[in-house]
Amino acid sequence: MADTNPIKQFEIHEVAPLEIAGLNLAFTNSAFFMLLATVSVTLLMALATNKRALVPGRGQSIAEILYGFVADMVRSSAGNEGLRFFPFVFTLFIFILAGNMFGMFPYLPLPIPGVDNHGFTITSHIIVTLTLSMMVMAIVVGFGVYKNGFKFLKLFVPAGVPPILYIIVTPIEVISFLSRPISLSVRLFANMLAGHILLKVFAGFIVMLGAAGAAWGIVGILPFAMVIGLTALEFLVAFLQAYVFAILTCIYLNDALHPAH
Amino acid sequence: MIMMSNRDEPDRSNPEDRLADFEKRLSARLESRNAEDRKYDRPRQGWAIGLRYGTEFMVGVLVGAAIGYLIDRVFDTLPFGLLIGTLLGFGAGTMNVVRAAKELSECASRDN
Repeated sequence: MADTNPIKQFEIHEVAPLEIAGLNLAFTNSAFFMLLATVSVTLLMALATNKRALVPGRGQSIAEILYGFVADMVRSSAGNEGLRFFPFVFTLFIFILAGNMFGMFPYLPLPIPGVDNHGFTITSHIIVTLTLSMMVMAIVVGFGVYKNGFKFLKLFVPAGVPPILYIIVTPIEVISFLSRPISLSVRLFANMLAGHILLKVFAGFIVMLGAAGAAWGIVGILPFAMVIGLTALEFLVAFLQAYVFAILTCIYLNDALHPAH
Repeated sequence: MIMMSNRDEPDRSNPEDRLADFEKRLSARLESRNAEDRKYDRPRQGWAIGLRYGTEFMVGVLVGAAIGYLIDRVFDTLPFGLLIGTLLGFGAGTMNVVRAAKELSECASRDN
């Protein structure tokens, strides 16, 4: 019987082993999909913009719409000043979006023989999403301190509070700040993980029913319809989560620019 | 056409009036179309917003408890740091939710 294990899709395989100073730095299928996302986005953008037509063609329109979409997002939540972070936010958004979309292939084998092949979603691993959100937090803290100095700490001392309450309010603000990278990464990771498991569980039902006998195979239409619906939903989630990640990045960057809210 | 012209409809023969009339009809059409679109947008946004509130609150409590536990490990005061940390984390989680709601309502008022 076919393999219907719904969490096999999250397995990491070494493609090219590499060990430096006792650290396992092998090139894995996860790294391959990250590279695929980066290279394909770079190629798309380079091809779309190399003509620089005054009246954009189809490719250039895609690039311009993406640019306008992210620029509007940055401007509306971090102001014009926030546009200096546009390259960072755009890279984050497009990388997560491309990673999510490549994850939507149910089967996308690596072009390397002899490796256990299956599709892979880079954002379904918390180490990837946590690294991205830690990058955001490093920039927020780094730039906030660089631009505002000690005034950055005003973030933890909101104005208009009776002084005695700072004993409670400041720790709460600190915890709230520290919870940001975790909520940012957990939301993306949990959405992708849960969605893809659900998709594969229902797809597994089709195979199981098909293997159970001719009459059961007809019942398999039901999970098949479910898989179609879930796939559409997952495409939506793939876009929505990339959008949410990017817009929250903008909101946090706004705190770095204007710490006293 | 002659019968309809007794309502205060613009003179169709005048190009400027025709343009203004077109603009008016177009904006009315667009408005109804956008209203229709918004109706379909609502459920999926509600779903995303619900998830957002959930994680914001949960993470606040977890981080508060974790910090309390770490303080306990360092100063060897086991139940108290964890208890106070969880309580403060509860506050932080609530504040996260309130902030998220404020951001979302700002977004909503900007869109309308």
